[in-house]
Amino acid sequence: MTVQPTWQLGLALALLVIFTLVVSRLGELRIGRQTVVAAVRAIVQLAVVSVIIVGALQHLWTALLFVVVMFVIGVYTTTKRVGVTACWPWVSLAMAAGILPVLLIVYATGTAPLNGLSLIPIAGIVIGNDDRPHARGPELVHPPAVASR
Amino acid sequence: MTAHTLVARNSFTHLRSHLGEFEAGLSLGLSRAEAIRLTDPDSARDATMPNNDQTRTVGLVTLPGAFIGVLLGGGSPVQAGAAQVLVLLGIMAGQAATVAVAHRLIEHARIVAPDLRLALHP
Repeated sequence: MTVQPTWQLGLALALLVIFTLVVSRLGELRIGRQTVVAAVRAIVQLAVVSVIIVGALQHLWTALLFVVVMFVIGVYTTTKRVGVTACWPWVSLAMAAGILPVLLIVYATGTAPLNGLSLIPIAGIVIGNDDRPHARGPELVHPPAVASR
Repeated sequence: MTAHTLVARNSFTHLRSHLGEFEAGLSLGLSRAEAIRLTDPDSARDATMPNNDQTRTVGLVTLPGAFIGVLLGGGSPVQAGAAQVLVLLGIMAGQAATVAVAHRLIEHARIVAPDLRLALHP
């Protein structure tokens, strides 16, 4: 089962937003405006990221570049949240100490093939180290496009 | 990223409210790292708790992102389970290493909040 970016998806998204608006109006939640903003942001951001990842998947080096960007954003986010932006080199060291050994084990054992399709989701989850917002698309362990190569 | 945020935030909050204990430790002749470890023995462990809980309860209470993602991507439930267990244990290992290193760096005041810089004599 796969969700495709069809007109049905557009219809479903519009209905979901309308449903949220109606419910928030009936329940006097006063969240109408912010839910519309959140929905539009989610649609635009994911559309842009999807297109960028299509590009990043083309070569291993572009995927690596994408992973490096994710790492930099991760270090920036956590240093800013904790208020230690000046300590970013040490924070990078601590984060790399968690990320590099895990990727080494995953790829050295051959658990997943070393290519963009597996690197971006696995590295992304480990860098964010939080599996709640990182649901992903195609199969992780046995990507068919890779297995057939 | 999440583990680093948790360990740093926990440690700094704890140190701010226990600066007296920290300084008492120093006055007993402990090093800065020893004094921090004495006043704050739990921050590192606590930072790994959310993922630990998720790993323990996966499948019983929640179906996390990788599992759902593989299913939506057309994978079988077994493939989804394989991906999810790899992700959970990978996060567990990565968080343990990140928290261990970050906590050492905090003990040595390499990672230090600006308002604690003076108190910790870096």
